[in-house]
Amino acid sequence: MTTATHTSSAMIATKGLTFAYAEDPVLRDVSLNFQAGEFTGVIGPNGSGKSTLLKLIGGILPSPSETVFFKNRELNRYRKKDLAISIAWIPQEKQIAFSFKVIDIVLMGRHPYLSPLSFEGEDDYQIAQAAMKQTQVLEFADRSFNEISGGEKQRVMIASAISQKPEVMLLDEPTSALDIKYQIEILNILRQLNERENKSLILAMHDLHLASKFCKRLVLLKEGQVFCEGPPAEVLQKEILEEVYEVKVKIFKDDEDGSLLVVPERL
Amino acid sequence: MSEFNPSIMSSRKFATGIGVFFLIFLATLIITPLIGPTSIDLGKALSGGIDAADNVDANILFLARLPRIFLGAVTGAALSVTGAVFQALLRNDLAAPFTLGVSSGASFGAVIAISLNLNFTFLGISTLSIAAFAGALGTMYLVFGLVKTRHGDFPTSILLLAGVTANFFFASMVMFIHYMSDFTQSFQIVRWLMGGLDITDYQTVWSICPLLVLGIGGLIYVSRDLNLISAGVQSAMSRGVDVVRTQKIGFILASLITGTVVAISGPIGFVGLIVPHIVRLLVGPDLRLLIPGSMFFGASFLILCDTVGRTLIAPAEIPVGVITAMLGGPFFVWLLKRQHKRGKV
Repeated sequence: MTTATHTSSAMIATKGLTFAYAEDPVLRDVSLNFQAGEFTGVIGPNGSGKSTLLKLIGGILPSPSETVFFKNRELNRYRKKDLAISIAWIPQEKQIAFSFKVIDIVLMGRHPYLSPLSFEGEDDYQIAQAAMKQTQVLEFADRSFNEISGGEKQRVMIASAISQKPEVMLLDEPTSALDIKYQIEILNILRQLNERENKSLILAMHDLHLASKFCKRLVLLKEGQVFCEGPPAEVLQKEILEEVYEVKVKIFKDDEDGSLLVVPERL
Repeated sequence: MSEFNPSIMSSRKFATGIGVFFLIFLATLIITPLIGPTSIDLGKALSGGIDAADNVDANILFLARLPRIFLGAVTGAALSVTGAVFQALLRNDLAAPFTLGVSSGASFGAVIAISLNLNFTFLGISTLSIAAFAGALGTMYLVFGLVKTRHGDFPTSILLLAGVTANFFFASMVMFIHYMSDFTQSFQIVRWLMGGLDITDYQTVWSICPLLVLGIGGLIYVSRDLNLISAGVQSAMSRGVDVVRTQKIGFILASLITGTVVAISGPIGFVGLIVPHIVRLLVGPDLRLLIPGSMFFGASFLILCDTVGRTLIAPAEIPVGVITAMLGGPFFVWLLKRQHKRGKV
């Protein structure tokens, strides 16, 4: 089917993507390419459409036809389980309704590999165990998910996504509710996944400093449109940020790793 | 490195769990027929060549107690399974089989049949039950008709509100018809609304079994998908669950099962709330174990409640719905307090 394909070398592509929950579009004409193995941060003010973009790419929201492609094939054409094997979407940590254990949550990542009425086998436990080791939550395996801390929950969610064995991981503000120690822990885990296992990562982020420190490429959204994209040093410029965030800023550079610190000019 | 030995769900743990609940059910099934205001001699009841007319023990066992116990088993099993499923689908452990208005719709149907004096049987099922089942189906049609899928999401909060509204609406209609009815009808209505298991034939039980087996089987088939939905709708989508399809299957099967048993036994409350909770406390929230566990435990629970109802003020009887309601109130309070302590409410 030629109509359902979109030839490009990108792993994920959006093409003229416009999306509205009700009347007003949250995303307008967004065309972006994400290459395999990239570590991309999606930044922008509140309400600029970061989370919505991630949900559309992850298949959590149904995308309009001919707008979102994975490996040159329209996202809507994939079977749900096939898509889950390729793309994992990870929400912010939160309470859940029932007292599932950490191991239960991590094993849920194996769902796309299991047929109905079957139980997780030895392989699935091995994979879940390795994922929990990788995110350092193995010692919580038997604890109730609702009883562990926010940073631990986020690591469990990541372990669950790892056991899903996807090529792409989408994370919706994985660090914004966490203190600085957990923020760095989470981002180091993600960097390892990117560098050692060549996972493609797309993160919605608020913290511009962390974005510049860990992401290799940034996409800046304003009011649902792509304002600009490129390496952090190109995107995080005084004039650009002042226009998008509507606040005067100063930018400091950390000479050690070249990361940028953006602070408001005066309070 | 710490040893990896968490208590995990495996087919062996599953079999053990089901086995225990099945044994409880079996024990209930063997013991309760022997309990009652009149003590019976089992040997005499089972002695060959039963002449129904003069074998009193056999009469009590086979005509008075067993049909009732079987109906208690299927009703308890059905309401407990659907309670567990509704709680998972609505991600709320205070949900119950009657939350979506199915039982009040059924009551409305039954009350209309009573007020029109429709009193015959059709294919071995009373018109009362048929009207009640029609009421349940009509309510499902109304409630689900109000909810439209948007952005790949089935809005359960709207479904919940539609159910609550249906509950109020049909309850007021029942009240109206009740007020307009004569003394005999009024008694019949009150009696039906209390819920009861007092039948004297096996035909009724067998006639609803195929639907229940298919329904519960279908719910077990999607139980792992339901697990993921109960832990979070969007996460479930990301893990490859067809959420909308599973929600529709779950809600429709659970409502259908509820409507079926309510049509026969009336709206017996609280079973579908209490049983899934107790089973969840024992085995955890995994529906692959929770559904069959609730099925066997729910069957035992309702049979035991009815046995209490049969014997407490013998020779008079208390409808089983009254017993479950009396247990249900305090249980609800305990549940709320427990949640409050854990900071959930």
